[in-house]
Formats: sequence, structure tokens, C-alpha cells
Amino acid sequence: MSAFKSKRELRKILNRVLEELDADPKLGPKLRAAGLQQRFEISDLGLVLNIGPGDESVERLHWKFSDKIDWKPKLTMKMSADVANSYLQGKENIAIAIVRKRISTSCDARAALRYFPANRPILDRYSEIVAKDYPHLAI
Amino acid sequence: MDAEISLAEASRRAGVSTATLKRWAEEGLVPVRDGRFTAAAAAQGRVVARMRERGYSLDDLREAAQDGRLAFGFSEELFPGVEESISPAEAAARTGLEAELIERLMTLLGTPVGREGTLNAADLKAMEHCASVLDSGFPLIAFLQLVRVYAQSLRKIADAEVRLFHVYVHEPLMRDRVAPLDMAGEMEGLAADLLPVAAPLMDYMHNRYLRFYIEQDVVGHMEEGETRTQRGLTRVKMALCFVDLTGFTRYTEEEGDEEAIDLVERFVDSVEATLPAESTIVKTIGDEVMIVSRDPVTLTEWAVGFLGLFQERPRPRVGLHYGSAVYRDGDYFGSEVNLAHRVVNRALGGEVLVTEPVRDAIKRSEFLDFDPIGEVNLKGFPAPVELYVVRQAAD
Repeated sequence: MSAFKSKRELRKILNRVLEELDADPKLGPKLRAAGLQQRFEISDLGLVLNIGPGDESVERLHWKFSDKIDWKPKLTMKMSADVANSYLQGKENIAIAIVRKRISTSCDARAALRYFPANRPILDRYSEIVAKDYPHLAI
Repeated sequence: MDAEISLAEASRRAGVSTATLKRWAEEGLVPVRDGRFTAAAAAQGRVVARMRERGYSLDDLREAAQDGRLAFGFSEELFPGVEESISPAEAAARTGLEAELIERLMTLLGTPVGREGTLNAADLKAMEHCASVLDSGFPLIAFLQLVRVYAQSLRKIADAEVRLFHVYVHEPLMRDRVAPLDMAGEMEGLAADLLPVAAPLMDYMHNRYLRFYIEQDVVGHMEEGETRTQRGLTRVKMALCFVDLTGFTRYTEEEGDEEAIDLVERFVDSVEATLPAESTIVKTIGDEVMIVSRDPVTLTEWAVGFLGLFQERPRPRVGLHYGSAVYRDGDYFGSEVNLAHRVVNRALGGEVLVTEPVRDAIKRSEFLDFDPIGEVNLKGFPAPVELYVVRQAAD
């Protein structure tokens, strides 16, 4: 049993993180410009989140909670819900988590170079939301 | 807009005669609006005077002035000149420090008294602060190292500030062909806004890092490994790690300098973004990053996990050694550091290569496998060194 009350709860938080970042006048354009093509798979909850390249013409970041997407992920991260909660609060060192098999990844080198620093706002916003509205998930 | 000042005042500020300043204004070397002098014009006059002293011709300076290349005279306003002139002997009498020590400190600060001859009021104030530190009982040997680190770090910061301001502010204004006087005004305004926030920002970062390293120091005291050399230098037992990108020279040749710099920046960002909290980047030299940690286990795990993220060229490689290094001036020295550096040079792209002390320190790990590659001759080391390739443990 994970710290999340349900799959729906995690999905709701992630959706809120991305909505808030997308609407943020400073972070939104940065995140879109990073050109993320990243897939999160939360194995024990059966949750998939695909973040796609931003569409500058409509100034929107694309994300979908399914694999029915028209872009190819460049970075895939697979982990359990508890590890996801820890990683998203910046408490999980990605490189060490990979070695300890807590997170598995597949990616190209350029994506790794670009995405991990670009993920920082997602982690920061997730931590803020958890601290404020989901204290049972705070680590 | 810049207020008008008299020609006499402008000439005093520029440090040249009224006739010279007037002539420079007529020749377009100093920007005046409708024949009126301003602080910015006087500041540029001062810049022209200095450039003349350095041997630049009036033609060169006229061309530079017209392009706006001399519009940095605003700095004269931000950093008012200090006219007081104090000899080292007088400074010694006023601070209680020995004149020799004052000269040594000023040399460390990069403004040798030998070059300038005297101290100004700001220098004297700095010497008074130094005297207070030493009066409080802080050892001189440690203080001199600290001053050297301060000077080296702040010199680098100031250099970056000026270069980045030049590239991102001054050059775009020149490209847009903004009139020199407007350019000077715009740059002075921006610099005046930025300068007051630089010190609090640095203060904040300093406190933040200080807090972090105090915690690290507490952890260090709980562990073994700190010794003194015969000359009183500190030796610390650390995991010493070098990471670089294999084939970076070839990548630069093929992709060009800008692409290569972009890659290095993103590479170093990724190292910083993923490094365990107890590890520290000591320095970066081109595509090479030197990292230290008191914990060889997490640093080795990080290295293996980090390299696993890179499947395409140019792939990083890592060399790791665990040994005692001499700590001085914020850096680590000695043969153990040299050994770690030699180890990375033997690694292939995507490979983490470690010495026996690293393997011994980790002992058994359920996450890592060590494959011995045998004894390897490393340049500069008389005896062959046993090396191991570390990989993620097989399922």
C-alpha cells in the first residue's frame, strides 16, 4: 500500500503541478522551451504520465495520463508510487536510485543532460503542493 | 536624464584641462548634448584620458566612442574614487598589523602595495577588518588561506559580472546603434539597480553554504580520517572523483565550439543536479569535473547511476580513488588526487574505474559489482595499481 490514498490522488496532484507550472508566466515558458518528452510510469498504481513538447503557438505544455501520444518519449522513468513521492519531493537522488533499482530509466544522452535540471521546477512545485494540501505525503 | 554640470566640474572629474575636455567634446570623443556637460560625459572623459595614457590614438578612441565602446564610464559614478593615500607603515601604525603582513595581504588581494605604492581608505578599512579577525585569535596561517580563497573566488565573480554585462547589455546596445550618451545612461541605470542586490545575494549564498558545510564538518568529526602533515597542513580522507566526457575534443571539432560549450554547461548542470548532498564539486576544468565526498559508497553509486543515463557519445567516464589528500585554499592536493586523475584517464566512455581502496571501503554491496581488470601502470606512479570496473549489480 502506498502513501497515496489512490491512483486518482497522485494523478490529481501531478495534473495540478503541470497546470500551475504551465500557467506560471516565468516557469511555463521555460518548461515549454526545455522541450520535455518524458514518460513517468508508476508501476504499482498503473499510472502513466507523458509530458510532451510544448506548443509555442498556443503557449501550452502537453501532457497525458496515457500512452496514446503523438510524440516519442526521450526519457522514461519507472518507479513505485512511494519512490515517486520521494523523488518528486527531491528526496531521492536519481543516480543512486537507478543503481539501487528504485527507479529504472531509458533515455538518450541529450535528454538526460537537459531534463534533469529542467525537472527541478516540477519537483519544487510538487513539494509546495504536498506541504500545503497533502501533508500525509510530506517526507 | 543626467543633470548638467559645468565644464570646470566636468574637467575636474575627468582629470584633464577644460580646454582638452572641450576639444574632445568637439571631436566626438566625449558625448555632450547641445554643448552641455553631464556626469556621464565627464566619466567618459576620464575613460578617454586613461586610454590616452595607455597609448591609444585619438582616432582609435573617436571610433570607439562613436560605436559606444567607451560608454562604461558609468562605473566611475558607481565606484567613486578614493583620494586618500596611506603608506604601508602608516597603515601598520593605524591597524596594529605589521607592514610586511599588510603588503602580503594586499598582494593576496591582487592589489600589491608594490604596484600601487600606497593604500586608500577602503584598503585601510579592509586591513582593520583583517586585524580584528587576527585579534580574535584566528590563526594567521588559516586566515591567509582564507583571504586567498576569497580573492580568487571574488575575482572570478567580478570578472564574470563584467563579461556577462558586456555580452548581454553593452553589446546589444552597440548593435542597436544606441546613441553613446543614451547608452551610458541606460547602462548606469541598470548597473545602479544591480549592484546593490549583488552583496545581499552573495551574503545569502554564503550563509547557505556555510550552514551546509558546518553540518558536513560535524559529520566529519564523527568519522576518522583527518590528520596533520609535518608542516601542519590538514590531510583529509576523501573519496576523490574525476568525471569527464570521452571524445570531447573530437566532438568539439565536429560540432563546433558553441555546441561543445553548450554540452559542457548541460553536463556540469546535470552533475550538480544529481550529485548526492554529501558530495562537493571542487572545480571544473573544461569538460572535467572534480568531486570529493567523505562517503565513497554513495559517490560510487552515484557515478554508476549517473553514467547509466548516458547511452550516446560523448559518454562520460569516471575515475575514483579513496585516500588522504592535503586540503589547502579550498582545493585538494597530493599524490592521491593525482592518482584519481590518472585513473579517469584509463577509463573508457561509460565506465566507472576505481582503485582498491574504494572497493575495500565499500566492502560488499548488493547494488554494485566490481570486476578486476588487473594491475595497471599509471603515469608518474612507480608501482602498478589494481583497478576495478564498477557496474550496477546484475539481477
